[in-house]
Amino acid sequence: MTIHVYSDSFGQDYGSGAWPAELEKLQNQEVICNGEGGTGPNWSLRKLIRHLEDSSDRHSPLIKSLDTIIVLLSDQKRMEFPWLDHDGLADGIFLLAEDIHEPNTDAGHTLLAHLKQNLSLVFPTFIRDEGMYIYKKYAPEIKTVANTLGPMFLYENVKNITFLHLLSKQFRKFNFLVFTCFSLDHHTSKYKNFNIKSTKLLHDLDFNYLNTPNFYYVSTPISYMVGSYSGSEEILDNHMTVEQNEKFALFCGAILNNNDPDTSWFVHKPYDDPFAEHQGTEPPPPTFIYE
Amino acid sequence: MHLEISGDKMTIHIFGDSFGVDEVGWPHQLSKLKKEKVRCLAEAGTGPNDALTKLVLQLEEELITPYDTVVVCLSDQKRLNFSFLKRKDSACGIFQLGEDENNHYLEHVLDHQGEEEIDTIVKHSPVIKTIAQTLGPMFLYENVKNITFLHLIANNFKKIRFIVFTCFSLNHYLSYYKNFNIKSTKLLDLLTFDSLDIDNFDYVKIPIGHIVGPNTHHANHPHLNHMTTEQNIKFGQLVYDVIMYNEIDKSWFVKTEPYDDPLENCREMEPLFIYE
Repeated sequence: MTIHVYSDSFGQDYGSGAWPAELEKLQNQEVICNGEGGTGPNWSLRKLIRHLEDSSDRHSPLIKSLDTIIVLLSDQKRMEFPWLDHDGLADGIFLLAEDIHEPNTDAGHTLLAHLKQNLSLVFPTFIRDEGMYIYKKYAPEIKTVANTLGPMFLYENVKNITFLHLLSKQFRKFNFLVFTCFSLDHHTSKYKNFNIKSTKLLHDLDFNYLNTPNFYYVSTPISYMVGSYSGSEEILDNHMTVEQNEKFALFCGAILNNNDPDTSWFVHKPYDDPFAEHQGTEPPPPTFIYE
Repeated sequence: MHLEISGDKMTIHIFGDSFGVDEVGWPHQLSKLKKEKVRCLAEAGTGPNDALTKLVLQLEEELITPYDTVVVCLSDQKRLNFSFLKRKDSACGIFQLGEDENNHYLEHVLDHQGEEEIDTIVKHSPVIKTIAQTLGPMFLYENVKNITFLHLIANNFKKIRFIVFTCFSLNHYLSYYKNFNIKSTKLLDLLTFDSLDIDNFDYVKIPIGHIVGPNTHHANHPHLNHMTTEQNIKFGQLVYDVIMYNEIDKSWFVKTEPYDDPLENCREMEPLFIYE
């Protein structure tokens, strides 16, 4: 049996010490990471669908009976704009069309510095020294995309979760374990261009009914489990310390083995992506309760 | 156990596009059968985002209350609320303008829009292309996701009865649009939705356009919802039967070809959905 991971940086394969390698040892199963830092849910789901399609008609399917699919849904705002130089540059794009990044406030100044950060070390092919700000020229287009997606875009990750639930009904021999990397809102409601008037329904939603023998959605976002960078501990590129990687692997393993997972290590103080930090801390989402 | 429905203050709320408008059409028939008030919040030419935004608002403001019924007619997912349009009902066919080979849209739309609106839309062709490319292949599943989202809503509002239709097929030619870069529709074609049906939620798998057929005889179509008077009566009965968990009468469903969005007529018509 194999565990297939679809995600952003939280599930990327960073080798020994990272949670996929730990989970591989714990479950005694191969873990295949299909994650890529900076990508969004559409990127991950597209890959998953291709693998599911391939699996349904091949003699040696990529995803086999009793395999596990772990999906870490990243921020829905990480969309695949056609002019991006790299798939992993999807984060922060919608901010470029908002007025808040202008350097007339301290927060705006910090954000501007983030947007202009040189990314050539992360993306060697991306040699421009203006960082994400190079895409500022597309601001009118980005604004139209956000305006057109409109208020229902707030629910895009909710829809992704329910879509994955439908897939689990279709593929009953696969186990699905679904996380979100950030909260379901993740500041989307603060973006004026989406014109979101209320988040009441989003906050009232209960997902418990989704959990069935081959589907589990964990309501605590990973960012709220692992918290923000602090102290002198080494942080791996998946934003977790070595200890958190071990605990997260144990957490996944417990759910996959239908045991009570340990949540005592959750920090409940979110790690946020750098482009969201200036917007203040979000109220915590509901605490994870294993049922 | 079915959802118990009783009392005289219950309301049926209808969300959708033109298939859900016209209070003297099937909504009127449904109101008579169910002996309940009907609120039509559907709007011709609009898409699912418009309908769902209204539904979410109504739920948040508690304008839909326990034992009410919600009927959602999910239109073509390509009908987004493009911000540059002056009228929401101009959303049909817009994505054709972003395609390199298009212009069936222009021929048709000239009959319906003012020249000023046409100029605006044409000017926005590049951004229309960007929107399609940005949405990408996962947009093929947007109405599937809308259905599963409504299923979640139904599970959160157990005392409200939800009936969901799509107006067109789930693909509805989307995979022909090159800008969405859709390589395969295999998974979409494989999907089954039976697992979604619960006491207070039914998804009717045959699209309304495939139930009522082409809108070819205008004299027989006095209603704005593309149905003849007789079809309106029968469709009202069908919705009633679904709500009441009765066997539905499929004998009147068209056996030839579906009603189709005129803006998609540049392509070979989709095969008729065969109801099981």
